[in-house]
Amino acid sequence: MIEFRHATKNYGNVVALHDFSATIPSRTITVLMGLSGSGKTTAIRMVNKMVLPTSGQVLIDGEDVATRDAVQLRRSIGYVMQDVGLLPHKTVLQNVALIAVIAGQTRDEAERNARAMLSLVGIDPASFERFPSQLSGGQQQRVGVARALATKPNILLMDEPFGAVDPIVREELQVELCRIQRELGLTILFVTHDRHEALTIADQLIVMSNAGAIEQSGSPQELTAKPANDFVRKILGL
Amino acid sequence: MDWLVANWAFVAQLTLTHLGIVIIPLIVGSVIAIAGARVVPTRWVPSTTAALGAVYAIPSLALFVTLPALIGTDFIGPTNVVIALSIYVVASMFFSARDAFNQVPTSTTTTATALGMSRLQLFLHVELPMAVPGLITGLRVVAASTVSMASIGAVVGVRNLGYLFVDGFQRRIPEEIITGIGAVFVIALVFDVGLWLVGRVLTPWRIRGDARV
Repeated sequence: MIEFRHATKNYGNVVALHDFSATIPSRTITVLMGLSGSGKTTAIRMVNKMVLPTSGQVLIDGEDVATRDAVQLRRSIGYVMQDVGLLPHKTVLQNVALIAVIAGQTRDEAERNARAMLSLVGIDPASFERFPSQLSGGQQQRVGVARALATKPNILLMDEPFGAVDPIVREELQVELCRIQRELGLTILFVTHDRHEALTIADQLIVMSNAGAIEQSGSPQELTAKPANDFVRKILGL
Repeated sequence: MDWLVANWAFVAQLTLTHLGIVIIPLIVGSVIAIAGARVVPTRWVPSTTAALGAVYAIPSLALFVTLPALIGTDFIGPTNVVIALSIYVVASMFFSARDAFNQVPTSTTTTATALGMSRLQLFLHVELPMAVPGLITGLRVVAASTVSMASIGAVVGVRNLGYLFVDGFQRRIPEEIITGIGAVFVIALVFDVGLWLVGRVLTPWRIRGDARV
Protein backbone atom coordinates (compact mmCIF):
# COMPACT_ATOMS: atom_id res chain seq x y z
CA MET A 1 0.00 0.00 0.00
CA ILE A 2 1.26 3.45 -0.90
CA GLU A 3 0.02 6.45 1.04
CA PHE A 4 0.45 10.10 0.20
CA ARG A 5 -0.02 12.28 3.30
CA HIS A 6 -0.34 15.98 2.58
CA ALA A 7 2.48 15.68 0.03
CA THR A 8 3.54 19.09 -1.26
CA LYS A 9 6.25 20.13 -3.68
CA ASN A 10 7.27 23.70 -4.40
CA TYR A 11 9.92 24.80 -6.88
CA GLY A 12 10.64 28.32 -5.66
CA ASN A 13 7.30 30.08 -5.98
CA VAL A 14 5.86 27.45 -8.28
CA VAL A 15 3.61 24.91 -6.59
CA ALA A 16 3.87 21.59 -8.43
CA LEU A 17 1.85 19.56 -5.93
CA HIS A 18 -0.20 20.94 -3.07
CA ASP A 19 -1.39 18.97 -0.04
CA PHE A 20 -1.92 15.73 -1.95
CA SER A 21 -3.31 12.87 0.08
CA ALA A 22 -4.30 9.52 -1.40
CA THR A 23 -4.08 5.81 -0.68
CA ILE A 24 -3.02 3.33 -3.33
CA PRO A 25 -4.19 -0.19 -2.42
CA SER A 26 -1.81 -3.11 -2.94
CA ARG A 27 -2.10 -5.41 -5.96
CA THR A 28 -4.27 -3.02 -7.96
CA ILE A 29 -3.82 -0.56 -10.78
CA THR A 30 -4.37 3.01 -9.67
CA VAL A 31 -4.43 5.63 -12.38
CA LEU A 32 -3.59 9.27 -11.72
CA MET A 33 -5.36 11.18 -14.41
CA GLY A 34 -5.01 14.87 -15.13
CA LEU A 35 -3.85 17.46 -17.60
CA SER A 36 -0.36 18.95 -17.62
CA GLY A 37 0.24 20.95 -14.45
CA SER A 38 -1.93 18.61 -12.41
CA GLY A 39 1.11 17.36 -10.49
CA LYS A 40 0.63 13.73 -11.47
CA THR A 41 4.27 13.19 -12.51
CA THR A 42 5.50 14.98 -9.39
CA ALA A 43 3.35 12.70 -7.24
CA ILE A 44 4.52 9.47 -8.89
CA ARG A 45 8.18 10.51 -8.64
CA MET A 46 7.84 11.05 -4.91
CA VAL A 47 7.30 7.33 -4.44
CA ASN A 48 10.85 6.44 -5.53
CA LYS A 49 12.42 9.64 -4.19
CA MET A 50 13.15 11.08 -7.62
CA VAL A 51 11.31 14.09 -6.18
CA LEU A 52 11.57 14.90 -2.48
CA PRO A 53 8.47 16.47 -0.91
CA THR A 54 8.82 20.03 0.40
CA SER A 55 6.42 18.94 3.12
CA GLY A 56 4.25 15.93 3.80
CA GLN A 57 5.09 12.26 3.47
CA VAL A 58 4.89 9.25 1.20
CA LEU A 59 4.63 5.88 2.92
CA ILE A 60 5.06 2.39 1.50
CA ASP A 61 3.44 -0.25 3.73
CA GLY A 62 3.50 2.23 6.58
CA GLU A 63 7.16 3.17 6.21
CA ASP A 64 8.09 6.76 5.26
CA VAL A 65 10.25 6.63 2.11
CA ALA A 66 12.21 9.59 3.51
CA THR A 67 13.87 7.13 5.91
CA ARG A 68 14.98 4.80 3.10
CA ASP A 69 18.22 5.03 1.12
CA ALA A 70 17.23 6.40 -2.31
CA VAL A 71 19.28 3.94 -4.38
CA GLN A 72 18.14 0.88 -2.40
CA LEU A 73 14.52 2.08 -2.49
CA ARG A 74 14.60 2.55 -6.27
CA ARG A 75 15.94 -0.96 -6.78
CA SER A 76 12.80 -2.28 -5.13
CA ILE A 77 10.43 -0.25 -7.34
CA GLY A 78 9.94 -0.57 -11.11
CA TYR A 79 9.80 2.58 -13.22
CA VAL A 80 8.72 3.12 -16.82
CA MET A 81 8.24 6.40 -18.64
CA GLN A 82 7.27 7.55 -22.12
CA ASP A 83 10.85 7.92 -23.39
CA VAL A 84 11.87 4.37 -22.62
CA GLY A 85 15.52 5.37 -22.18
CA LEU A 86 17.01 2.00 -23.13
CA LEU A 87 20.80 1.97 -23.38
CA PRO A 88 21.63 2.08 -27.11
CA HIS A 89 25.00 0.39 -26.58
CA LYS A 90 23.58 -2.67 -24.91
CA THR A 91 21.48 -5.48 -26.38
CA VAL A 92 17.88 -5.99 -25.32
CA LEU A 93 18.89 -8.81 -22.97
CA GLN A 94 21.81 -6.81 -21.51
CA ASN A 95 19.53 -3.82 -20.93
CA VAL A 96 17.24 -5.87 -18.74
CA ALA A 97 19.94 -7.95 -17.04
CA LEU A 98 22.11 -4.93 -16.18
CA ILE A 99 19.49 -3.54 -13.80
CA ALA A 100 19.27 -6.89 -12.04
CA VAL A 101 23.08 -7.16 -11.77
CA ILE A 102 23.28 -3.66 -10.33
CA ALA A 103 20.67 -4.61 -7.74
CA GLY A 104 22.92 -7.47 -6.65
CA GLN A 105 21.87 -10.53 -8.62
CA THR A 106 24.60 -12.76 -10.06
CA ARG A 107 25.13 -12.56 -13.80
CA ASP A 108 23.52 -15.98 -14.42
CA GLU A 109 20.56 -15.24 -12.19
CA ALA A 110 20.11 -11.82 -13.81
CA GLU A 111 20.17 -13.27 -17.33
CA ARG A 112 17.71 -15.98 -16.40
CA ASN A 113 15.35 -13.39 -14.91
CA ALA A 114 15.85 -11.09 -17.87
CA ARG A 115 14.86 -13.85 -20.31
CA ALA A 116 11.82 -14.70 -18.20
CA MET A 117 10.69 -11.07 -17.97
CA LEU A 118 11.26 -10.44 -21.69
CA SER A 119 9.17 -13.50 -22.53
CA LEU A 120 6.50 -12.36 -20.06
CA VAL A 121 6.14 -9.03 -21.89
CA GLY A 122 6.01 -10.79 -25.25
CA ILE A 123 9.46 -10.20 -26.72
CA ASP A 124 10.51 -12.92 -29.16
CA PRO A 125 13.79 -14.61 -28.03
CA ALA A 126 15.14 -13.89 -31.54
CA SER A 127 15.22 -10.21 -30.54
CA PHE A 128 17.15 -10.71 -27.27
CA GLU A 129 20.52 -10.09 -28.91
CA ARG A 130 19.37 -7.09 -30.94
CA PHE A 131 20.09 -3.49 -30.09
CA PRO A 132 17.14 -1.27 -29.04
CA SER A 133 17.41 0.81 -32.24
CA GLN A 134 16.51 -2.33 -34.19
CA LEU A 135 13.13 -2.64 -32.44
CA SER A 136 9.84 -0.83 -33.06
CA GLY A 137 8.56 1.73 -30.55
CA GLY A 138 6.04 -0.72 -29.12
CA GLN A 139 8.68 -3.41 -28.68
CA GLN A 140 11.05 -0.95 -27.01
CA GLN A 141 8.29 -0.07 -24.57
CA ARG A 142 7.82 -3.79 -23.79
CA VAL A 143 11.54 -4.07 -23.10
CA GLY A 144 11.20 -1.04 -20.83
CA VAL A 145 8.53 -2.87 -18.83
CA ALA A 146 10.65 -6.04 -18.66
CA ARG A 147 13.59 -3.96 -17.44
CA ALA A 148 11.45 -2.35 -14.74
CA LEU A 149 10.46 -5.85 -13.56
CA ALA A 150 14.03 -7.20 -13.61
CA THR A 151 14.54 -6.74 -9.87
CA LYS A 152 11.18 -8.41 -9.10
CA PRO A 153 9.61 -5.31 -7.54
CA ASN A 154 6.15 -5.30 -5.95
CA ILE A 155 5.51 -1.76 -7.10
CA LEU A 156 5.59 -0.48 -10.66
CA LEU A 157 5.47 3.26 -11.42
CA MET A 158 4.43 4.13 -14.97
CA ASP A 159 4.51 7.70 -16.25
CA GLU A 160 2.53 7.89 -19.51
CA PRO A 161 4.38 4.77 -20.67
CA PHE A 162 2.37 4.21 -23.84
CA GLY A 163 2.07 7.85 -24.88
CA ALA A 164 4.33 7.51 -27.90
CA VAL A 165 3.06 4.26 -29.43
CA ASP A 166 0.32 4.02 -32.03
CA PRO A 167 -3.28 3.38 -30.89
CA ILE A 168 -3.50 -0.27 -31.93
CA VAL A 169 -0.25 -1.28 -30.26
CA ARG A 170 -1.24 0.87 -27.32
CA GLU A 171 -4.41 -1.13 -26.69
CA GLU A 172 -2.45 -4.37 -26.96
CA LEU A 173 0.00 -3.11 -24.38
CA GLN A 174 -2.80 -2.04 -22.03
CA VAL A 175 -4.39 -5.50 -22.16
CA GLU A 176 -1.05 -7.18 -21.55
CA LEU A 177 -0.20 -4.86 -18.70
CA CYS A 178 -3.41 -5.92 -16.94
CA ARG A 179 -2.49 -9.58 -17.48
CA ILE A 180 1.04 -9.06 -16.13
CA GLN A 181 -0.31 -7.12 -13.14
CA ARG A 182 -2.59 -10.03 -12.22
CA GLU A 183 0.08 -12.65 -12.85
CA LEU A 184 2.68 -10.95 -10.65
CA GLY A 185 0.28 -9.31 -8.17
CA LEU A 186 1.82 -5.91 -8.78
CA THR A 187 0.81 -2.60 -7.26
CA ILE A 188 0.83 -0.26 -10.24
CA LEU A 189 0.65 3.52 -10.07
CA PHE A 190 -0.04 4.71 -13.60
CA VAL A 191 -0.07 8.29 -14.87
CA THR A 192 -1.96 9.26 -18.01
CA HIS A 193 -4.00 12.05 -19.55
CA ASP A 194 -5.76 9.64 -21.91
CA ARG A 195 -9.33 8.95 -20.73
CA HIS A 196 -9.71 5.79 -22.78
CA GLU A 197 -6.51 4.35 -21.33
CA ALA A 198 -7.49 5.36 -17.80
CA LEU A 199 -10.92 3.76 -18.03
CA THR A 200 -9.50 0.57 -19.61
CA ILE A 201 -6.86 -0.30 -17.07
CA ALA A 202 -7.82 1.37 -13.78
CA ASP A 203 -9.05 -0.44 -10.70
CA GLN A 204 -9.01 2.93 -8.99
CA LEU A 205 -9.02 6.24 -10.79
CA ILE A 206 -7.90 9.51 -9.24
CA VAL A 207 -8.82 12.60 -11.27
CA MET A 208 -6.54 15.54 -10.51
CA SER A 209 -6.88 19.16 -11.55
CA ASN A 210 -4.44 21.93 -10.67
CA ALA A 211 -1.34 21.02 -8.57
CA GLY A 212 -2.71 17.81 -7.16
CA ALA A 213 -6.24 18.90 -6.24
CA ILE A 214 -8.29 15.68 -6.29
CA GLU A 215 -11.58 16.24 -8.09
CA GLN A 216 -12.82 12.70 -7.57
CA SER A 217 -11.51 9.22 -6.94
CA GLY A 218 -13.08 5.79 -7.17
CA SER A 219 -13.58 2.94 -9.61
CA PRO A 220 -14.06 3.83 -13.29
CA GLN A 221 -17.67 2.64 -12.96
CA GLU A 222 -18.34 5.00 -10.05
CA LEU A 223 -16.79 7.95 -11.82
CA THR A 224 -18.57 7.42 -15.10
CA ALA A 225 -21.91 6.75 -13.36
CA LYS A 226 -21.66 9.64 -10.89
CA PRO A 227 -19.11 12.25 -11.95
CA ALA A 228 -18.63 14.67 -9.06
CA ASN A 229 -18.46 17.84 -11.12
CA ASP A 230 -18.04 19.37 -14.57
CA PHE A 231 -14.27 18.91 -14.54
CA VAL A 232 -14.60 15.16 -14.09
CA ARG A 233 -17.41 15.01 -16.65
CA LYS A 234 -15.28 16.89 -19.14
CA ILE A 235 -12.00 15.03 -18.64
CA LEU A 236 -13.79 11.68 -18.89
CA GLY A 237 -15.69 12.84 -21.98
CA LEU A 238 -19.13 12.17 -20.50
CA MET B 1 64.65 10.87 -50.33
CA ASP B 2 68.43 10.46 -50.22
CA TRP B 3 68.52 12.46 -47.00
CA LEU B 4 65.83 10.28 -45.41
CA VAL B 5 67.57 7.07 -46.51
CA ALA B 6 70.85 8.28 -45.05
CA ASN B 7 69.27 9.38 -41.76
CA TRP B 8 66.38 6.95 -41.30
CA ALA B 9 67.58 5.61 -37.95
CA PHE B 10 67.79 9.14 -36.59
CA VAL B 11 64.33 10.00 -37.96
CA ALA B 12 62.90 6.81 -36.45
CA GLN B 13 64.32 7.73 -33.05
CA LEU B 14 62.88 11.25 -33.27
CA THR B 15 59.52 9.76 -34.26
CA LEU B 16 59.50 7.51 -31.18
CA THR B 17 60.31 10.45 -28.89
CA HIS B 18 57.61 12.47 -30.61
CA LEU B 19 55.03 9.71 -30.08
CA GLY B 20 55.86 9.49 -26.38
CA ILE B 21 55.58 13.23 -25.93
CA VAL B 22 52.18 13.18 -27.60
CA ILE B 23 50.66 10.03 -26.09
CA ILE B 24 51.29 10.86 -22.43
CA PRO B 25 49.58 14.28 -22.54
CA LEU B 26 46.70 12.84 -24.58
CA ILE B 27 46.00 10.17 -21.98
CA VAL B 28 46.64 12.27 -18.86
CA GLY B 29 44.88 15.34 -20.24
CA SER B 30 41.82 13.42 -21.47
CA VAL B 31 41.34 11.59 -18.19
CA ILE B 32 41.53 14.86 -16.25
CA ALA B 33 39.21 16.63 -18.72
CA ILE B 34 36.61 13.83 -18.77
CA ALA B 35 36.60 13.54 -14.99
CA GLY B 36 36.46 17.34 -14.72
CA ALA B 37 33.55 17.58 -17.14
CA ARG B 38 31.58 15.26 -14.86
CA VAL B 39 32.74 16.64 -11.51
CA VAL B 40 32.79 20.42 -11.98
CA PRO B 41 29.42 21.72 -10.69
CA THR B 42 27.25 23.45 -13.29
CA ARG B 43 27.50 26.83 -11.57
CA TRP B 44 31.30 26.75 -11.92
CA VAL B 45 31.25 25.81 -15.59
CA PRO B 46 31.26 29.40 -16.96
CA SER B 47 34.32 30.37 -14.89
CA THR B 48 36.10 27.08 -15.67
CA THR B 49 35.35 27.57 -19.35
CA ALA B 50 36.74 31.11 -19.25
CA ALA B 51 39.89 30.01 -17.42
CA LEU B 52 40.56 27.13 -19.81
CA GLY B 53 39.89 29.37 -22.80
CA ALA B 54 42.52 31.78 -21.47
CA VAL B 55 45.00 28.93 -20.99
CA TYR B 56 44.41 27.82 -24.57
CA ALA B 57 45.23 31.34 -25.76
CA ILE B 58 48.76 31.22 -24.26
CA PRO B 59 51.27 30.55 -27.06
CA SER B 60 52.85 27.14 -26.56
CA LEU B 61 56.42 28.42 -26.63
CA ALA B 62 55.57 30.94 -23.93
CA LEU B 63 54.08 28.17 -21.78
CA PHE B 64 57.13 25.92 -22.34
CA VAL B 65 59.49 28.61 -21.06
CA THR B 66 57.35 29.90 -18.17
CA LEU B 67 56.37 26.53 -16.67
CA PRO B 68 59.83 25.90 -15.14
CA ALA B 69 59.57 29.22 -13.34
CA LEU B 70 56.08 28.39 -12.08
CA ILE B 71 56.42 24.75 -11.04
CA GLY B 72 60.17 24.23 -10.88
CA THR B 73 60.58 21.71 -13.70
CA ASP B 74 63.78 21.55 -15.76
CA PHE B 75 63.94 24.29 -18.33
CA ILE B 76 65.43 21.88 -20.84
CA GLY B 77 63.87 18.47 -21.33
CA PRO B 78 60.62 16.65 -21.99
CA THR B 79 58.87 16.87 -18.58
CA ASN B 80 58.18 20.51 -19.08
CA VAL B 81 56.75 20.00 -22.58
CA VAL B 82 54.68 17.00 -21.54
CA ILE B 83 53.09 19.00 -18.72
CA ALA B 84 52.41 21.99 -20.98
CA LEU B 85 50.82 19.79 -23.66
CA SER B 86 48.70 18.04 -21.01
CA ILE B 87 47.37 21.44 -19.97
CA TYR B 88 46.37 22.19 -23.57
CA VAL B 89 44.69 18.78 -23.88
CA VAL B 90 42.69 19.45 -20.70
CA ALA B 91 41.71 22.91 -21.96
CA SER B 92 40.47 21.57 -25.28
CA MET B 93 38.98 18.25 -24.14
CA PHE B 94 37.00 19.81 -21.30
CA PHE B 95 34.72 21.50 -23.84
CA SER B 96 34.35 18.40 -26.00
CA ALA B 97 33.69 16.22 -22.97
CA ARG B 98 31.00 18.55 -21.62
CA ASP B 99 29.38 18.59 -25.05
CA ALA B 100 29.60 14.82 -25.33
CA PHE B 101 27.97 14.31 -21.92
CA ASN B 102 25.28 16.87 -22.73
CA GLN B 103 24.36 14.76 -25.77
CA VAL B 104 23.27 11.88 -23.51
CA PRO B 105 19.44 12.06 -23.44
CA THR B 106 17.91 13.04 -20.09
CA SER B 107 15.34 10.26 -20.45
CA THR B 108 18.12 7.65 -20.39
CA THR B 109 19.85 9.05 -17.31
CA THR B 110 16.51 9.62 -15.55
CA THR B 111 15.29 6.04 -16.02
CA ALA B 112 18.69 4.61 -15.11
CA THR B 113 18.65 6.64 -11.88
CA ALA B 114 15.03 5.76 -11.19
CA LEU B 115 15.87 2.05 -11.57
CA GLY B 116 18.50 2.29 -8.86
CA MET B 117 21.85 3.12 -10.42
CA SER B 118 24.24 4.93 -8.11
CA ARG B 119 26.07 8.02 -9.38
CA LEU B 120 29.17 5.97 -10.25
CA GLN B 121 27.17 3.21 -11.96
CA LEU B 122 25.35 5.84 -13.99
CA PHE B 123 28.69 7.25 -15.14
CA LEU B 124 30.23 3.87 -16.03
CA HIS B 125 27.22 2.15 -17.58
CA VAL B 126 25.35 5.04 -19.17
CA GLU B 127 27.11 8.38 -19.50
CA LEU B 128 30.61 7.30 -20.48
CA PRO B 129 29.67 4.71 -23.14
CA MET B 130 27.00 6.99 -24.62
CA ALA B 131 29.44 9.91 -24.78
CA VAL B 132 32.00 7.87 -26.75
CA PRO B 133 31.15 9.30 -30.19
CA GLY B 134 31.52 12.90 -28.95
CA LEU B 135 34.63 12.10 -26.95
CA ILE B 136 36.29 10.45 -29.95
CA THR B 137 35.52 13.45 -32.15
CA GLY B 138 37.09 15.75 -29.56
CA LEU B 139 40.11 13.47 -29.18
CA ARG B 140 40.73 13.40 -32.95
CA VAL B 141 40.93 17.19 -33.04
CA VAL B 142 43.10 17.47 -29.95
CA ALA B 143 45.40 14.64 -31.10
CA ALA B 144 46.16 16.41 -34.37
CA SER B 145 46.87 19.72 -32.65
CA THR B 146 49.04 18.06 -29.98
CA VAL B 147 51.12 16.24 -32.60
CA SER B 148 51.90 19.53 -34.31
CA MET B 149 52.33 21.53 -31.10
CA ALA B 150 54.80 18.98 -29.73
CA SER B 151 57.19 19.94 -32.54
CA ILE B 152 57.69 23.31 -30.91
CA GLY B 153 59.24 21.46 -27.98
CA ALA B 154 62.35 21.14 -30.17
CA VAL B 155 63.04 24.82 -29.52
CA VAL B 156 63.40 24.11 -25.80
CA GLY B 157 65.67 21.15 -26.37
CA VAL B 158 63.37 18.18 -26.80
CA ARG B 159 64.71 16.08 -29.64
CA ASN B 160 61.52 15.12 -31.43
CA LEU B 161 60.45 15.60 -35.04
CA GLY B 162 60.44 19.36 -34.51
CA TYR B 163 64.22 19.13 -34.35
CA LEU B 164 64.19 18.41 -38.09
CA PHE B 165 62.60 21.83 -38.68
CA VAL B 166 64.98 23.71 -36.42
CA ASP B 167 68.10 21.92 -37.66
CA GLY B 168 66.99 21.88 -41.29
CA PHE B 169 66.28 25.58 -41.16
CA GLN B 170 69.56 26.53 -39.48
CA ARG B 171 71.68 24.35 -41.79
CA ARG B 172 69.55 25.06 -44.86
CA ILE B 173 68.68 21.44 -45.67
CA PRO B 174 65.23 21.50 -47.35
CA GLU B 175 65.04 17.68 -47.43
CA GLU B 176 65.31 17.59 -43.66
CA ILE B 177 62.46 20.05 -43.26
CA ILE B 178 60.28 18.18 -45.75
CA THR B 179 61.00 14.89 -43.96
CA GLY B 180 59.92 16.53 -40.70
CA ILE B 181 56.67 17.77 -42.20
CA GLY B 182 56.00 14.36 -43.75
CA ALA B 183 56.68 12.49 -40.51
CA VAL B 184 54.48 14.81 -38.41
CA PHE B 185 51.72 14.42 -40.98
CA VAL B 186 52.00 10.63 -40.91
CA ILE B 187 51.84 10.55 -37.10
CA ALA B 188 48.81 12.83 -37.04
CA LEU B 189 47.13 10.59 -39.60
CA VAL B 190 47.93 7.44 -37.61
CA PHE B 191 46.36 8.98 -34.50
CA ASP B 192 43.31 10.09 -36.42
CA VAL B 193 42.67 6.74 -38.08
CA GLY B 194 43.48 4.91 -34.84
CA LEU B 195 40.97 6.96 -32.85
CA TRP B 196 38.35 6.55 -35.55
CA LEU B 197 38.83 2.76 -35.34
CA VAL B 198 38.60 2.84 -31.53
CA GLY B 199 35.34 4.74 -31.91
CA ARG B 200 33.97 2.09 -34.28
CA VAL B 201 34.94 -0.73 -31.91
CA LEU B 202 33.41 1.01 -28.88
CA THR B 203 30.12 1.83 -30.62
CA PRO B 204 29.05 -1.39 -32.36
CA TRP B 205 25.37 -0.45 -31.97
CA ARG B 206 25.81 2.47 -34.34
CA ILE B 207 26.94 0.12 -37.09
CA ARG B 208 24.32 -2.59 -36.48
CA GLY B 209 21.69 -0.01 -35.62
CA ASP B 210 21.83 1.33 -39.16
CA ALA B 211 20.71 -1.97 -40.60
CA ARG B 212 17.13 -1.88 -39.39
CA VAL B 213 15.23 -5.12 -39.52
